[in-house]
Amino acid sequence: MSVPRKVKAVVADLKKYRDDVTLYRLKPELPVKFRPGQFLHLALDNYDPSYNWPESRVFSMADAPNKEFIDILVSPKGNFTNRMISEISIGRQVWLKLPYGTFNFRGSAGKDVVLIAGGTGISPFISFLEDLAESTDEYRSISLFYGVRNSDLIIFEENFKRYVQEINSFQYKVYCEKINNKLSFSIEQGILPIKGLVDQTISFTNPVYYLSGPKSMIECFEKELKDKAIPEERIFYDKWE
Amino acid sequence: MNHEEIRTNILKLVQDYYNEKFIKKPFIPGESVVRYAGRVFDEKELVNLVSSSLDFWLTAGPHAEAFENELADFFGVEDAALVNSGSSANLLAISALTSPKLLDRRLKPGDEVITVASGFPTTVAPIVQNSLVPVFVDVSPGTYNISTEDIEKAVSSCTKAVFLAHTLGNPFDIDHVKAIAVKYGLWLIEDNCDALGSRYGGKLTGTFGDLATLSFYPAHHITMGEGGCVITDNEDLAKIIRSFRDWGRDCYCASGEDNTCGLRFSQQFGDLPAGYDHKYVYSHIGYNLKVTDMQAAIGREQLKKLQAFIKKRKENFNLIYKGLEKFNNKIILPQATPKSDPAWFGFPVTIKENQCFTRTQLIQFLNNNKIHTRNLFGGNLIRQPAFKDIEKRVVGDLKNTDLIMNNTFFIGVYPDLGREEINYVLEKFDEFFQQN
Repeated sequence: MSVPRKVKAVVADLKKYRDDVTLYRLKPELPVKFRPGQFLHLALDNYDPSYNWPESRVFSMADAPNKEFIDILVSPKGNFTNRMISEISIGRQVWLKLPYGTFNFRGSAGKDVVLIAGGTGISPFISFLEDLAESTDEYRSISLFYGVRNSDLIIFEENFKRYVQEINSFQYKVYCEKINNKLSFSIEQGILPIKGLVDQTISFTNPVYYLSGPKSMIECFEKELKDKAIPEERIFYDKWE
Repeated sequence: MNHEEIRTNILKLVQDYYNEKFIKKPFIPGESVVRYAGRVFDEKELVNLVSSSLDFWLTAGPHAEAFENELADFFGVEDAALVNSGSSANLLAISALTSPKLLDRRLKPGDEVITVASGFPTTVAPIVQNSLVPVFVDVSPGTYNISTEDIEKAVSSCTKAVFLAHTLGNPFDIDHVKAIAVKYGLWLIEDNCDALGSRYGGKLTGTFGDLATLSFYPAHHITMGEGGCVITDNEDLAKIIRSFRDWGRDCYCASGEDNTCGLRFSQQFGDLPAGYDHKYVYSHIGYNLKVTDMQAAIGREQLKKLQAFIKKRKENFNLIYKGLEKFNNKIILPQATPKSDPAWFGFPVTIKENQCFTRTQLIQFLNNNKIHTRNLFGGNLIRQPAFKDIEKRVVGDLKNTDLIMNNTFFIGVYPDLGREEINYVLEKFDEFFQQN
C-alpha cells in the first residue's frame, strides 16, 4: 500500500442524477497515487495538521489512476453524505486522504473474472476497467453484472460500450428494478439474480469473484458462492461498515 | 498577548539564541577540533524543533508523516517508514522478512543471510536476533565492500537473503549482487545508513533492494538526533514494516485516527471473536520503534539541505583525495565502485602492509593535532566479544576484513568542514609522512 497522503482538492465538476446520486470530479493540489479498487477518505471541514483528521467518509475511486482528476460517485445515505450534497458546489475545497484498501485485481490477471456491482458499488470496477482499457494486462474473460434501482442511474453505460470495444473478452449485463425511460441498450428488468449469476459463471475456469455494493447484496452473493464451494481466496469484497 | 503572538515571540527568541549560541566560530589551526562528523544545522532546525514542541503532539504526527512523504518522494519509492534509529531500521527490515504474510518466502530460524564482517554491528545483529545465520564474505580493500567473486560461493540451499551496507557511502557492486539475488531468489536489503544520496548507474542507492535502511544519527548525512527509516517500493513489505514498527498491530491507522479501513469492527482474526476491534489486532510480534514528532520536525529542515550536504561531502572527499594521492605507496586510497557516485560518509585510509609506522601511531598523531578519526566501525565483527560465538558460516579466510580491522581508519568529509580545515588535515598528513 502506498503511504496514505493527505491532500487538499477542489471540486472541479459534478453531475447530479436521480435521487441526488452525484458524480464528483476532484482535482487534488498534488499528484496522488492509487491502484484500481482502492478508496479515499473525504473530509468537508478544513484539516489542520496540528489537530486530528476531521470527520470523513470513504469512497472508491471511479476512474483510472494517474490522472489529473479523481472521480467519486456518491449516493446520499446519512448525515455526512447529505451534507456533501447540500454543501458541495463546483470550486469547493475538500480534504482527501488516500489511498486505502486491499480490494485489488493484481492477482487475477489471466483468469476468468466476474464483477458483481450494485448501485454506487460500480466505482472500483470503473477504475479497474478504465485502467485496463489503457494497459496490456490480459484476462481470460471479464464479466460484469450490474444492478441499479432505476434506469436513470445507469451512469456508465457509455463506458461499458467502450470497454466491449477496447477490452478483450469483456461482457456486461445491467439489471434494473424500475425502467423509467426508453433505453438505447438492452437491459434486464429486476434485481441481480443471485443464484442465476452464480450458476451461470461457476462453469468458468476457476472464476474469481469481485463483489461491490450494498452490504446485503454482498452477503447474499457471498453465501451463495460459499454454498457452491467457491474457495474464499477466489472471492473479494469491497465492503465497509 | 494571545498564544499566536507568544509563539511568534518565542520562535524569534529561538533564532536569536541560535545566533548567539551556535554560530560557527573561525577555524584556528591546532586549536579547533576537526571532527570526523557532526550535526550541521542552522536556526531553522532549532525553530522547527521548538515550534513542534509547542504543538505538543509528541508522538509521531504531522511532521513525521510529512517527512515520510518527502523522503519517499526524494527516493521515488512507495513507502518510507520513519523509525527511531538506523539500527532499528535494520532490525525492522530483517524482522519484516520473517512475517508469515510472506508465506513460503518468509525467513525462518536457521535460514542464512549473506553479509560481511567488516562494518557496523547492527547490520549483523538483527540477523542473529531473528535466529538466522549470518554468512560472512570477505571485502575488497579500497572499496570496503563485499568481494564480488566470493558472493556466489556463499550461496547454499539455506540462503534466503543478502544484507549489505554501502560502506562509508560507497555503493557495493549492485549489478553483481542483484544478479545473484535474482538468480537464487534471495531478498536483497541495502543498509543505506551511510549512503544517503549515493548513486549507482545514476540511480539512488536504497532503491535497488527489496528494502533499504537509513540512519539520521548526528554523524550521518542528515540528522534528527535519533532517527532512521526503512524504504521500499513493495506495498506488501511496506505494510509489514509498519506493523512491526507499530507494536505488531494489523491496523494501519495513523496516530489519532480511527477506522481508516472502514472495517474496524467487522473482521475476523485468529481465534478472536468476530468483529474484535481491529485497532487491537496484532498480526506480528512487533516493537514500538516510532519517533517523536519533534525529531521529524528537525529532519524536515535537514532534508531541505540534503542536496547541498551531498555536494559538500563530495567536494571535501575530492580535496582530501587529491591531497593524499601522492602517498599511495604508503596507504590504500578509497576507490568508488565502478558506475557509482558516492555521497561519502567519511574518507577511509588503509595503511599498506609492512610500513615503518602503525595505524595507531598515525591516528594518535592526528588526534594530538585535534583531527578526529574513527576505525571502520567493528573491524572484523566475528572477532568482537558479542559475535565470536554466534552461529555463523564464514566463506574464505576474511583476510581483507582482518587487514581493515588492523590498518583502516577514516577521517571526516562532513559538510561543516571547509577548505581551511581540509588544508590543515592535509598539512598534518604531509608532516607525518615526512617523518615516517
